[in-house]
Amino acid sequence: MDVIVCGAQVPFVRGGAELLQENLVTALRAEGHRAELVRLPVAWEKGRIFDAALAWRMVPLDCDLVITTNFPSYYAKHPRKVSWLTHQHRGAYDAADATWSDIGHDDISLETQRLLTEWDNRALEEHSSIYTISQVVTDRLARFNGLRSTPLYHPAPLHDALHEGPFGDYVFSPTRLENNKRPQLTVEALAHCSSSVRGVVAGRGSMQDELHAIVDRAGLGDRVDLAGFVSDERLVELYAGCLAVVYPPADEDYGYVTLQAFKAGKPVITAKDSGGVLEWVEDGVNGFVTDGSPEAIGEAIDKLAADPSLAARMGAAGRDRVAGLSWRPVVDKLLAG
Amino acid sequence: MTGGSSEPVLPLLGLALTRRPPAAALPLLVGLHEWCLPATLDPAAGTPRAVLATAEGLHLAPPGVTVAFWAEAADVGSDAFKAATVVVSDDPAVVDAAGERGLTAPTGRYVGNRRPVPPFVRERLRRERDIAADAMLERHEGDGWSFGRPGAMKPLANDLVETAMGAVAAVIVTEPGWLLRSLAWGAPTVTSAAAAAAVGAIAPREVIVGETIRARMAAATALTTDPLEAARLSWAGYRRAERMDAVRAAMTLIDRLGLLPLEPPRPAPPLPSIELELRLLGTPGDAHVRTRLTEATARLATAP
Repeated sequence: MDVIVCGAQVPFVRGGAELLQENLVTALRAEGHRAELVRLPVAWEKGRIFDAALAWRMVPLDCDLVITTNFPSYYAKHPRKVSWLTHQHRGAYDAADATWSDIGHDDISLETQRLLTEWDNRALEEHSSIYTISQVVTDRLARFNGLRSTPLYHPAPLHDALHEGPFGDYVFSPTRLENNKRPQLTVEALAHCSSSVRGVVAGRGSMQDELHAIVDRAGLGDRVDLAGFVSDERLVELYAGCLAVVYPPADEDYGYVTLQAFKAGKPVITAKDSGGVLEWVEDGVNGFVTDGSPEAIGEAIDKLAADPSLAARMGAAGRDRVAGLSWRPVVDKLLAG
Repeated sequence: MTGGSSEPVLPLLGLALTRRPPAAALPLLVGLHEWCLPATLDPAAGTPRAVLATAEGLHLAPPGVTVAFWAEAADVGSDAFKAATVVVSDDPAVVDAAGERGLTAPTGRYVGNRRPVPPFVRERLRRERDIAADAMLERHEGDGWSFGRPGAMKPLANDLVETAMGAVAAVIVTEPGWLLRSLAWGAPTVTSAAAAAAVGAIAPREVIVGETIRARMAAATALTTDPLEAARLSWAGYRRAERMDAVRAAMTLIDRLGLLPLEPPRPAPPLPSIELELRLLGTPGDAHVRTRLTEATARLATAP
């Protein structure tokens, strides 16, 4: 079967959605299909919010099946298309009141939200099936658009490469350094730890300078390593050697970090408002669900540092939790439409 | 391409109805006029791009031309019914029997300039305008409207009713015409079984039904605190109103038949195909995206 995977991307920005699209193409090819990834750029501000959506309506897609992923790729027109939704335009829906959204309560913003909902509903209803990457995305679609969908879970990147290792003297936090990922919580939590656990924060982003400043102010220079970009090989080893993974993003769509941590047999410390992460982390079983304060996260780190066997038991539970994930059922469902 | 008019050439839609068009088809034919030229089949006028035919007139359709079949109950299951690209009917059972190929031929125009306002935007609108979060709208038996919080509703002037329909958390209405207007605003709506049946609305998928004033008020009050149910009803209800709108049905028929100018004399904005896309998506005439589109294509239109 000839399959085109459609994805939207803000040029020069790369994250989970881009990885998902690429890995889906790889999985389709592995099953013997011809698959291509087609991307168009997207702009998120409300003055240009509909531009790329309209452009997708005109893109010629000659193939047997189209799989759409994120906003606004699901505006692609094809007689046979299936959606595997990673997210809509969050700044116009669930995150409309976030500081980074340019949607307000003025008439233009409200009309933008109204029209976008109508457009989204029409475009999404054209699909023979609507799957999402998580229950969080399914819940949003029901709450804002009144549409039904089904979560379809998939393994995280590096699923096959990740492995267990010793429980070391550091907690690991791999993430983009952006506001919605809240990397500062990991650093601030370490300042509240009574143990001498170190922290490694890997990733790049606009908060890099701010994080360095927090480390300096807290006098954590010898305990926090802001590692920046790390290679896949180094990432795997950092997972394998850590005591636990700290990952408290704000209302995450899915959260590869959780799945990768569990595959490496490590417990995950998260926050009660971390969205899709909570579909995987069970408090006291395979990690800790905290109130998201640095104090509570620091307390959870201390518990694991004081009792590495607890970390091992939780890590094993996490590994069991993701053991059944594979690409084949994902591909089968999407191709069945 | 040089010269010629900047107006797109309307494609010909042949009518093979063998008699005067069924009365129920007239609003649809009027709606089609903006997009195509519906005309009785006439060899002298050239080959139509598609044909709208009844069973009796089907033999007049030129071979190979896409057919929209105007079907009645007796036609269900016939070869013509099975072969048609689109099955158009004013009989809901016939449309259902045609599955995805079915298209209702409505007689009303209830959507017009009304736009579906989803519950989460309504909630933001009420917050911005200092309107109570659980404000609703109720039409009294007989005449008149009330607006406000449950248990504290006050009379509302008739000229403010439609504005309120686009903002309240729920509407209670049992008159079929107003029910369709409420649905066209995307308002989560509570009605009676008789009114729902009169407009073909399915409960509880598209509307909530209550048989007494008290039951309807209780159902509407429950909707004000149930965002999932409100969102589901809002969109499903709007789709019902849309299916009862002749202009909307005409655009859908054009889209399904692929009945757009193949070679417009000049791609003068708005391009017919993009204009149809915009309208099918529900885009108002003054939407900002239209300005963006005009800016993007203006130079193409004036290129030598």
